[in-house]
Amino acid sequence: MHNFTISLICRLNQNKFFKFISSIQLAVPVMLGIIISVAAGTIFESLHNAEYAKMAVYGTTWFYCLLSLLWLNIFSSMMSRYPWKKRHLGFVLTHIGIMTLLAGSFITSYYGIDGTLQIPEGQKNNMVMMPRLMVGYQFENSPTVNSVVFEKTLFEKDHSDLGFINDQIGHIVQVEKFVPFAAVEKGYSGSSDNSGPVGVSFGLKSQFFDVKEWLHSVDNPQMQMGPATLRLVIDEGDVVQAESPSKRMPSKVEEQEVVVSKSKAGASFYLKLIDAKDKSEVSRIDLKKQPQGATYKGVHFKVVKAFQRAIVASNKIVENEDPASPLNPAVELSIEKDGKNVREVIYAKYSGFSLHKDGVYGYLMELVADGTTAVQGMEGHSASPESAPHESAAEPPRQMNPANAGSGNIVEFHVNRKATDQVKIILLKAGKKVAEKIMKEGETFQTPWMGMQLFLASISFGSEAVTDVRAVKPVAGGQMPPSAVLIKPSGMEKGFWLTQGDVKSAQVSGKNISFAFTNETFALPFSLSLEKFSKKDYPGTETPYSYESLVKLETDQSVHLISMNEPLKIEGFTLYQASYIMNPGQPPVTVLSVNRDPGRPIKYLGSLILAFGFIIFTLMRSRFNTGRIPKKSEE
Amino acid sequence: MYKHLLLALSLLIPWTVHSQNLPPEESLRQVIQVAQQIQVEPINGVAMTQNGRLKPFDTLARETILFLTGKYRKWGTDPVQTYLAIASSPNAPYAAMIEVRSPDLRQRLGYTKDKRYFSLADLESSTLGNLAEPIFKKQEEGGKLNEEEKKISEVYSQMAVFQQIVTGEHFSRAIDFSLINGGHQSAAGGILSTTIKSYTEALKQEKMVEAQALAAELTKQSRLQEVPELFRHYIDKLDTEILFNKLSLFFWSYVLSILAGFLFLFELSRKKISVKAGYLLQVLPLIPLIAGLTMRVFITKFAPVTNMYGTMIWVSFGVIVFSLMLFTLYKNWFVSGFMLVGAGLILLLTEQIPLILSPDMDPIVAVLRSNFWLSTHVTTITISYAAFTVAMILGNIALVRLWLSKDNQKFFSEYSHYAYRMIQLGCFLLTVGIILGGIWADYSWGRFWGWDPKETWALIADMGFLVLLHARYIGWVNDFKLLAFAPVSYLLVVMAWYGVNFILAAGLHSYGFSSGGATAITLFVIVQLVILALGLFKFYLNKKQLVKS
Repeated sequence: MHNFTISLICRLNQNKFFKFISSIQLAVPVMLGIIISVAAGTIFESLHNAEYAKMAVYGTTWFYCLLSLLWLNIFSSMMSRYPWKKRHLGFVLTHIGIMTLLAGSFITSYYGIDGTLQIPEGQKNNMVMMPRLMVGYQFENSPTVNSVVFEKTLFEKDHSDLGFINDQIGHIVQVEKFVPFAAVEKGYSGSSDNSGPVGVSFGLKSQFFDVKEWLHSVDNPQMQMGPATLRLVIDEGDVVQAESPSKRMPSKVEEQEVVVSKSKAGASFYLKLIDAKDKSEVSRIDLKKQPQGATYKGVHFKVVKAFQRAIVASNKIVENEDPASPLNPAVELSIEKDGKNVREVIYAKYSGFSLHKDGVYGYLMELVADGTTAVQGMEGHSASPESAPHESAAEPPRQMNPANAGSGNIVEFHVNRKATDQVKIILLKAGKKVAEKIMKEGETFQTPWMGMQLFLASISFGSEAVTDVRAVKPVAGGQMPPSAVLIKPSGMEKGFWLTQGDVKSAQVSGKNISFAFTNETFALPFSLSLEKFSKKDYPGTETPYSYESLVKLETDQSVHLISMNEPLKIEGFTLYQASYIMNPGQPPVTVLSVNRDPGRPIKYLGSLILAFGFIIFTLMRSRFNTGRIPKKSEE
Repeated sequence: MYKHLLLALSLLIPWTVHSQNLPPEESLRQVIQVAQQIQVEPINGVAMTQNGRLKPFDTLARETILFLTGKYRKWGTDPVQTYLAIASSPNAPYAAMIEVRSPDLRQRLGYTKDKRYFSLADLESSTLGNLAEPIFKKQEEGGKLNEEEKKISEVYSQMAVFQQIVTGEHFSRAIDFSLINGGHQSAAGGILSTTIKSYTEALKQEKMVEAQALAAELTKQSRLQEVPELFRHYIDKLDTEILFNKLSLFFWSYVLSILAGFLFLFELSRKKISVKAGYLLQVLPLIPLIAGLTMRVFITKFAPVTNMYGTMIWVSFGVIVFSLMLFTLYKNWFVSGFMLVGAGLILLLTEQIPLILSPDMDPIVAVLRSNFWLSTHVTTITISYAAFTVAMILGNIALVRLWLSKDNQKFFSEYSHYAYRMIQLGCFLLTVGIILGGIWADYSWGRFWGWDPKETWALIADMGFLVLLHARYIGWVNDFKLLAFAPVSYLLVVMAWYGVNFILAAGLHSYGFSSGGATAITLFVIVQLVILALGLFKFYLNKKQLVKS
């Protein structure tokens, strides 16, 4: 055997190709190639994110080929020197070390599991989210999910590139197109048929919000927006003219409410704490003296942000940049008790707009900013806006009563199939009609509520949901757009788009099938529930010094603590504290990294061999071994 | 850092301009005069909290005055004196003490480019507020600031801090520990604030004896407050930290190392030094260096390699150690001389730009809180940078020497041997460091390797030098070229060490991110490339002449 190897190597060493493959002349350019590739990868990561860099470099086939070429080069260069002599020891060990390390990482990337498990506090989960993408379908009443998993790539793919997916699930569903970065616009398109479902597109605009929404008679007939309910009603019967023209409703409230002087620095700006039960004022937090908030009886009222001109834009409260816009003082609070926190927003003028109408931890809050008057806006206890009292903020907050707070503010969109070009808008307060107006497409209605404007964009009959997907280029430094696939179930004429995370049902040849396009998921053989998540900061700062999750293993009810640098090992899986999601008002969510790595022992062995090899290599080249002392050039 | 201060400030009463109106130079002179009369001790021992740790007022004043004025001792007075003079002198708002570091910004504020220092009144009456407003909005909405916006935001923060010192809020906020726990002032905090008031009042009225007694009282009281568990260990270290500030050990190390370096380099002095004295001269700069590092470890309880400043000191330590190693093996005075000067220059650079390389000892992020890994993985990686630094200096010596001497063959052969050994050592240490990092990552993040920019660039630097070693083996790189290309590969080290944190600013190793120093680094890279180009040019010129003759 030994002799055979020697003779084989001898013959191979005559071979020009083997000589090239085993040469350092190849090693140097391959190494330079790797250097340039991964350097580019780091730049991609800096511009976009780690996922993008993986798609562009680290996860690509050509990069694996480059690494494999390096492996082959090292392997053959070692073999070409066989039989090894004593002086080869360092060389052989270092290079075996690198080969083992590389082999270990190949095993990891093919057989390893590296995903994330998110568990909200008080809930359990065992579904690990993996980096790859998955298209799947499931028949109604069937437990089995048929799915095919594929790598996310940088390039758009059409039907011919997706053959391997369609080979597996093609009999039910064809994946027609894959778009890695998609801009998605959802809407409804009408048809001439006035018997189908009805869609109404409208805009709502006020001094502190501006939204565009759809109401759809099947998909979305009712929605909640702040304290108001918006509802689509289809009237049967003849068209009835509105009882009174809208001009009857002067927007007096708006004139009354804006009794705002410019909030001077000397003015008061404080948060009133009110006992939720007996409605008595229990404490005041002066936000001028304590701009970060304060603690009252174990409850920490932390000011996240204070606003002078709060405005709601794309579901976020921001400061209105226009200095000419009216004042709308508000504070965003993070209210903490026993390590849990709740988000709350308090407006000085619109107390009914707070997120928690029943109070937080037994307290109601009211913001008092001098020169700003609380307004009876969308609250229920005044029958008509004309009679709305000019209420001062110092008075007890009647509108805080949970019994009538938030209820009774309804905007109804009445659509009649016999008059397809108009919508009757009815505004209701506590069941009483306060305004009514017939609107046509493109018209705007000044409602008597807080100067809110309603704009009717379109009415469509026979309207169907359409999703418009365009391929886009991700912007450097911006948010990564989601991927999308065009799905065509066999037997259906038209396909539909699914964006990352979407699940959609469709009827295919008489059967209900749900289709999904998500990240690949992996079910752990055990479930974990999150008992408690805690994050500790360095006192007086927002820099966390540790965060940890107390989890319970559902199988044996044992409780474990996972913290930074202290993972949990169960059944071959290792769970690490990777991150957390803390959305105010919601329970904290722990993000655990779940990992199973069959390549780990191989990589560790490789590391050890490499380190030892290096030491031996260095020692063997030193004068202690060779006895050579380099000559000096001078002196 | 000053987010809260700004929030507080936005609600504060706008600064009311005093009627007093001295010429600006006179205001500054008056403030400095007040400063000179203030006793540094014992007020500098007051315990304070800031940025997640407990520190003596001595340190807080140093850091604050540095931030405001760009220097610790701009007007010769101790930072503690300067700070207290700002707090107590009625002329402080009119004294030009705030350094506006961007010349463009000075112009935008309506002044000439060479007006470097501004008074609080100058800034308040300028357009700074208008410039800063949109930036804070952008910042709060999570937008990334560009360089110009960062500069405006910095000056605004400087102004805010100065205001807070003047009103006394800066001092009283830092001294009251009850504030970091909840928000309400405790009884102890109440006593403290009365004492602070009497102290500043005494300073204003120049009753220095009374002030001294109050300062002692304040120091005592501040240390008796209830301290969060995490901060408890700092209480006993406050005096050590004051001593550490006073000694400037790294400065002395720089002086000793440069001195020894020059003694080694000049023929005249070198001849008079015995080998034993040579060893001694190299060990001398190590003494304050080690003492300084030890004190930092003692105060922070962590290996001193958590930021750029720490790693640079650690690298200069490594350069001197490796120079000692080379000296033991080869007794080459020149090489050691250059290494000592090199290490000294790194120390000088580190100490010269505290605004960019912050020497603060503020605590580290959660993921770094593992002393074992911090002191093995990070120290190994950075000590390998020291070995590469030695190789880089050797390379530059060779590149310059080409122009000075004709017969270089023997010289190159000798120096390339040193460089070769240093590169080998560096590659070994860096490889081990990367592997240790992989094990740590595996242990705490769940993966051995994840192509994170910091780990990727460490690998690139390692491979850059390994390419050099392999190219040398097959003869693609001769003695001279090994020396010439060592600085090129060193640029990869610079990228891994500095660039990932300051230029790319991406990835999981997110604790070291910072900005600034870009000009210095660009200059370094350009100078390096110019030396290389000139060296290679001369090399081929010589070769041509050789062929001709």
